[in-house]
Amino acid sequence: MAQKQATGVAQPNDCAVDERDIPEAAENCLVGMTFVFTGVLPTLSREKCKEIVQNYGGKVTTAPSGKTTCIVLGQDAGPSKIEKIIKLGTKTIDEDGFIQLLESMPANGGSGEAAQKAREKKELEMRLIEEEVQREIIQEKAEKAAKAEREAQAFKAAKAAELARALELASTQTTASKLWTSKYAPKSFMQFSGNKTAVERLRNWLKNWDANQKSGFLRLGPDGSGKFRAVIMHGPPGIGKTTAAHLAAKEAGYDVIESNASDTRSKGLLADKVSGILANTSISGFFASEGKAVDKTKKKICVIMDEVDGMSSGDRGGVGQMAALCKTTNVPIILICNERRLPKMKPFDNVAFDITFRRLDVNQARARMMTIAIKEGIKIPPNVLDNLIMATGSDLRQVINMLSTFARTEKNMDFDQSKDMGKAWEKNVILKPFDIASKLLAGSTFSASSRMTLNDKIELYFHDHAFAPLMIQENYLSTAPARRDMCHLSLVEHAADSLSESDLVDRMIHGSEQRWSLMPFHAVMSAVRPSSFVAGGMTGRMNFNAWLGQNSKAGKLMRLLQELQSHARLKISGDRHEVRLNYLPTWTSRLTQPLIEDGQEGIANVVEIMDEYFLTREDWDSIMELGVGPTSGEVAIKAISSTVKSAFTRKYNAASHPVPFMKSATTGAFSGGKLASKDVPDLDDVIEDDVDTPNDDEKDIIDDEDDITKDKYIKMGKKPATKKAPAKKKSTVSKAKAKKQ
Amino acid sequence: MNFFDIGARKAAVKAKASGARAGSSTASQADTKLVPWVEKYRPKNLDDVTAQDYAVTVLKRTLQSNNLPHMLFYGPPGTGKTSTVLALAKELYGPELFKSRVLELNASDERGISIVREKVKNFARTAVSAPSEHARKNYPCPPYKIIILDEADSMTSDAQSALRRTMETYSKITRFCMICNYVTRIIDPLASRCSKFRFKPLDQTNALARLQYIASNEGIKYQDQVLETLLVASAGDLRKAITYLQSAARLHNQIDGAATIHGDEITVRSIQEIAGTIPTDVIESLMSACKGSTLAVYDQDQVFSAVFNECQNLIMSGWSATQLIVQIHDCLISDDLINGNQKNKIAAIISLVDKRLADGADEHLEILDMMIKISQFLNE
Amino acid sequence: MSLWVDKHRPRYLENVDYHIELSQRLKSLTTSDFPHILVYGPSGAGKKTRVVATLKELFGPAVEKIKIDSRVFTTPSNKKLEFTIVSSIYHMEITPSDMGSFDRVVIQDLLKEVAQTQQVDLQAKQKFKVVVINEADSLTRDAQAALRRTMEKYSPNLRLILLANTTSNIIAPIKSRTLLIRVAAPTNDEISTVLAAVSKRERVPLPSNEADYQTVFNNIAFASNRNLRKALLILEAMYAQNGSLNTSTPIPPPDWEIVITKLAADIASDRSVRRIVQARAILYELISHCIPPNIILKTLSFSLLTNVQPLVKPDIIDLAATYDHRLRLGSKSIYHLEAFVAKVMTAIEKKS
Repeated sequence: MAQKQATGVAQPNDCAVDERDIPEAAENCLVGMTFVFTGVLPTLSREKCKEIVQNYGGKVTTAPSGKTTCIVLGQDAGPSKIEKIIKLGTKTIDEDGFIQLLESMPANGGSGEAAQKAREKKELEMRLIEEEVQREIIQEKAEKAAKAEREAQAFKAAKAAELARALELASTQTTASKLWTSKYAPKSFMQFSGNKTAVERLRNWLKNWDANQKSGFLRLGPDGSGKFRAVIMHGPPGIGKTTAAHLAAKEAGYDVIESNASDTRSKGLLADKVSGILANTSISGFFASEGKAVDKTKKKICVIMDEVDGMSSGDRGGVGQMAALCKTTNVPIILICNERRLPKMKPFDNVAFDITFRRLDVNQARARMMTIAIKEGIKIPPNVLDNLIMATGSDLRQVINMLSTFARTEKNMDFDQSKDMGKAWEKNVILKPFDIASKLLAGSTFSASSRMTLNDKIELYFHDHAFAPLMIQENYLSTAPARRDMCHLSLVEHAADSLSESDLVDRMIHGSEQRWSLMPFHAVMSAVRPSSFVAGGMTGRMNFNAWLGQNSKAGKLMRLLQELQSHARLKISGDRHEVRLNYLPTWTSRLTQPLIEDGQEGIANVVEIMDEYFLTREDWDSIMELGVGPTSGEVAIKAISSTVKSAFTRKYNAASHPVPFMKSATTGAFSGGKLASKDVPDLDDVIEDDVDTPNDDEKDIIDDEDDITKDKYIKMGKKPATKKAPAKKKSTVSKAKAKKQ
Repeated sequence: MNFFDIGARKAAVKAKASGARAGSSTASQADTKLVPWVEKYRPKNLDDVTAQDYAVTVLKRTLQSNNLPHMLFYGPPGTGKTSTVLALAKELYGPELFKSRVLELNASDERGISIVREKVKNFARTAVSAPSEHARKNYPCPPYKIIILDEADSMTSDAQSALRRTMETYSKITRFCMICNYVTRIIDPLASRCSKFRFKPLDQTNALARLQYIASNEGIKYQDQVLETLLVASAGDLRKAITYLQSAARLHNQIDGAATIHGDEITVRSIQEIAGTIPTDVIESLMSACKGSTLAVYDQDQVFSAVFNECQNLIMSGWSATQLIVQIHDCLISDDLINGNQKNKIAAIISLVDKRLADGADEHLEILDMMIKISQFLNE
Repeated sequence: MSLWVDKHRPRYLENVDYHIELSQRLKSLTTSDFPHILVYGPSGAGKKTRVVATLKELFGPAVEKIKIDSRVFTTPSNKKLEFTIVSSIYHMEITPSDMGSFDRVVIQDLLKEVAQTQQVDLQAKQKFKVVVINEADSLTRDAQAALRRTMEKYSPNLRLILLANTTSNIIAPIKSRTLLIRVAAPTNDEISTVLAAVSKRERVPLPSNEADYQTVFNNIAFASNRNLRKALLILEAMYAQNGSLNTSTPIPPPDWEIVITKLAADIASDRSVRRIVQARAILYELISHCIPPNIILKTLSFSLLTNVQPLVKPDIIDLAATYDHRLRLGSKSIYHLEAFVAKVMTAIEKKS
């Protein structure tokens, strides 16, 4: 979108091909300068220009303003921009001018005022960071000393000092061998970067938890968190959610019990374990070190459930159980997850207070990362660091990991190295369906200035080839397309057509042909091509795909229909589609009308029809459920009073009903890919029985050979209802009876 | 009825059934009546095979030389491929050896790769049994077996690949004969191992002669043009023609007395009905709707509704869309009033619709689409 | 109390109301050696009714003593497949769509089982058993190929009756081995006659005026789209809801038709992306409630025809044919239906 604005109008594809050799310029020569690139430059792509400027310490913005030092003007610049440039009176140069500027500028931006200012600012920043480093070092030392002192006191040994020294050594060693990520995990909120409001909310909630509990979680509190016994923190990985939770707990004086994806968290286990915990009080009060009074406040426990979205198929019912716990818990529960919008996280709606953690922007993250770099003695210029942070999508944990890896081999990192590294690490991230879809559907992916090749876009699909197309299909209608060459409807039409074609490809891949080599083609047809039409800003919230849900619903109803048809099969000649399309509407009215109009008196009528078609009470429900629209059974059902409905159920269950067939369980199972022979003699037996004694067991039924309902295989239940006896049993009983007779 | 009296019962049934026909009602003859005429009139030896001179000549020569290559017979259905190879095998081995020397597998048998690997291979590698004295005297009895793979084009390509090595390894004692409709569906490595015989569609005179022979043999009465209609309806497929003839005979000849509407002569109409051919008047009314010829002034919407109704009728009458395509094609392509350009377009749409129908698309929509487009082309 | 459509189903060939010649032909077949037959025609034309009556003609009333038993078949991949078979002592009825992609194996086994057991009952009129295969056009190619041989091999003990909506999907070898019997849909007049007879037997209050009397039935016949089953069901639903019939009695379209007709009107009147989003929800609803996607497409396009200008009509048919084809080839029907809706909208937009 940003580039879009800069260009003003939609551009044909970026034709510049970076042919030009970029001269070596002095280091940081563009410090303090702000550039705006507009239009198409003859040889350089915008991306490349941006890179150059950043490399030399300059800044690139998208729209000209008073602070802009220089505007690099290319062809076809937008009229609005040119107007603005004239208004502001900013210097404009072309591409050649830009290169000359590069060549001529001295290191560190010369003596210009702006450069001076920028340098000063940077120095200030560096000073601050150094101070911070110093402070931390001092603090660490103080801590160590204090610790040593404590230890020394504890042992009351004579050689306290010596021991202290030894301990100090030991502790330095331990810090050295620690992972950087835990070594530099913020120890207080002072060191915490970004997401200040979110953290503040968390702290407030935890601080007020006791008070809220006393008031029975009735008052909302200033930020609305007062009503909740639990919070759910969500946001992308590596921005300190877990750390924040731990810090907050520590600050408010809670002991933490943590559970994460490595623990099984099924319903049963959760119920046992967590409720067990919830009944506990903290033990640390009793184990406070000698000489210190038992801390009265340290009796509180806080449960942190990390990676809640990782509760998966193995943890059946876990989410529901967790949500139930959240409603009744007596200790604060902090839930942490990455993806709040997933359908399976639904149960937490209105149960836990939502705290959103966002990705940090570069400025927020830079200071902290710089501190770490300096402490570890890595020389890394700020712009290089920025690049790393951007490449990882502000995943601080990953930046730290990258730094620690890098520090193994070298101590200096320059821009290109950071770029390579960023790229190399970026590849290792598997994007989630939501991210894939938002990336593909983002206007910038297909804009003229996009640097993504077709392969890169196809690559996106392969991050999750099962879900990517589904997500695109679900969301392609809710964008505001950036393309202007066709109207929205035509764009959508093209996208829809492409999706439809992609399904044919999909069938070739997953159908009987198994043409897996078509996957890249499917990627283009199902994800890249549709997105290319409609890419643009999302107008609504990105939805999770509905197809899977709809498909399983269809499957379920299809099973009901099949059941229905197999019951009515003796009477109905049509297949199940005929049953659905033509019988169902008439059945619906015949099976509800009497109940609506005659109330209780109508029941007998309905049951009679049902018996005629061997329909069960469940089938009645199915018939109602299968309808659609304003004349469906579900609408009709509302007109039936609940007393009639329950009387209907009672009455139906009280009588016994004819059963059209015996369940397979009674005819015996088959084995070995063959229809079991066991079934055959049984069948013959029955047939013989019928042939030999056609009449003698039909006492209460007049034998009419033309009337199939009187056939002995279609037993009218003779026994006065031993209620709820399963259909299967009934049929065996009556069969046995028949044989006896 | 007496339990043991099966024979009598059968005879009674048969007597009743064949009362109208001349001839005795012995049990044996009743049984042959059940046999489809296609089987009954299958050529018994190579000389009986109609109209496939080239193949027959070559095969006869191999009979004398006792050497047979692997063979691949291909051609449209009903041209005598299976008959030829069966006749050949009979001439080679005689009835006695036939069972042990010939293995016939077709699409209804399990023919996955596992069967090729086991059954075919096992049969291929069993040593040839020595023929009896009697058999040797009367038949050539060459020292190899024959495996007939009927409908080989419906074998998976995996199964076909599995055959390659088998064919070579056991070539001393086993010959393969593959029969298919589409030679392109046989994988190249297999095709190159065989000598190919193309069976061309039967020409009219040959087929007609055969039909006449069968008709007179069965004592069937028929109206003029019936046999010709049969040949047109079956498009050169003799088996189809014979089957239709038998079905028609069933409809007409076997009711006592003439109390039915059918009479005992086979009519052209009933042949058409059996073959599923759409009557000419239906096609004509469809075409006139397409052309809008009944309208004084051409009006697209009226033509549309006329075509729409015609198609609706056609589908409701149960006519098959594939049949309609064939007949529409014949009717339009031979129409001299339509110029070449229009024919081009019409042929294109017909082939498209044919492909879609082959994929199982909805007949009503496809026919409607086709007819509306044709009507647009015709009125350009 | 059955629905009328089942209650008044003719049980003898003589009682079938229309296509008299066809009934005679079937009857004549039963008197001699009965061939394999393939009965085809649109649904609601009376194929099954005729077949059942023919069976009765062949074997006597015992064929009406039918039962359902369910069988479990273990596929080669060890999946348990449960399906039901309707059978009497003389015949068996199978529906291949119950068996999914395993129809070939199942059919082969079942037919073998039937064919290899000779008719035990000596009083039987015929010495063969009959296997009725419903929806034969939905048999896979494999299964059809398997059938062709079986038909020849077991012909002494076994006759097949195939029921299909069309012969297009049936392979030529099967067609040439069976006697084709076409059952055309009844004409509107024939339907009216049947409706009148049924209403008389059910004592439905009807307008006394002769012209009105005819109109009522003609209207129903027209609404049923020449499907007798549908016509009878509509008749009964009308009676159930109103108690009597006259020219002003509304003909209730089935639930799904109401939804689709409304959708068509919406699409034609408001061509926007927002409408596509709504259409998607409705289409999902229809699909999940077991309305076959091709029926949705067909009904939708036919009701669109009444909502658009003449110029657009051929385009709609073209699109419907294209996307119907894709429905067959693809697996996710919503994609194609949605694309159809989008395409129709632009087509209307272009010509308005």
